[in-house]
Amino acid sequence: MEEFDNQSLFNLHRSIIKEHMEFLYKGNITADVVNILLEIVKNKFSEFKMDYSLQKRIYNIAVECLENVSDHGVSGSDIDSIFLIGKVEGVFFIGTGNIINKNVTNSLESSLNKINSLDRVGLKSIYKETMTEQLESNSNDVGLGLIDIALKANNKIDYQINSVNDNQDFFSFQVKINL
Amino acid sequence: MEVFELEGTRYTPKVVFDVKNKVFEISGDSRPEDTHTFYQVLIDWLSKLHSAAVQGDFKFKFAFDYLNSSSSKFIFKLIKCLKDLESSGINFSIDWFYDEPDIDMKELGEEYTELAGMKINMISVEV
Repeated sequence: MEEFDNQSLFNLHRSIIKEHMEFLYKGNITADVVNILLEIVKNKFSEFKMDYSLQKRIYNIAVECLENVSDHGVSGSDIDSIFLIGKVEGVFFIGTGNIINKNVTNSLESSLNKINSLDRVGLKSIYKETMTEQLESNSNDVGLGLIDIALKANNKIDYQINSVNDNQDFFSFQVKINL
Repeated sequence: MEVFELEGTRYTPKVVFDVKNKVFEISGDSRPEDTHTFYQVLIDWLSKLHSAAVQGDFKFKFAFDYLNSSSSKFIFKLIKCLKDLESSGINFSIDWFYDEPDIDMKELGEEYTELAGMKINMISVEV
């Protein structure tokens, strides 16, 4: 294992600044961790002096992003999840990365592609459809949360899937909110 | 079954179902760890009103500061349950409170009106 020296620390700091990251977390994202991370997101609002409705929207998106990871990510995986927020030139961004089992990759991709193909009216319409169709299903479904993120962000969802082994993929997810 | 009450927490809303005074309320933040279990308890409790010896006009106040998407699904289910209670002579007048700049919360209330086929009074609150 390579030693983590002070030069690496310096390089890491430089690259966090270069990528405009305001906060970065790597570790297990459990329900308790979600609560802590949301407090940090809230603290950033006062730092950035955002207006009330924007704060609400960003908070909503952060909750849905984190719940997606804590509810649907593979727990006990030896590869940690990440959560980051950042801000650059009028854009706030929230990113997550986590391990998913390959057997959910296809359905996740097709949900995201469908969401990204729709305009606001289309998204509203599938939000309503999903809510009524899922009335009898008692799971905390991924679909509604993703549609909600797209609606509140008012931007396309950026994602990438990288294979990490025969059974698992790493799912990177990023959403931008115009300030 | 006169009063059902839950204290609000940072993640779960305050709940008051007061049958005696015919005033019901769910308010605060809603992102329970297990949304299904949390709301099913409320829906089951409300469903028992069908067989309770009560009738008349009731008030239901929804005043959420924050509601996650899985809660929004169960709130819809709960509103459908309120509509079903009409057949037992229990009529709810629903008020949906939202902070004036919170357009998303306002729109959600309007969507429930449309989807549940029930009149919901939209009430904006100045922040």
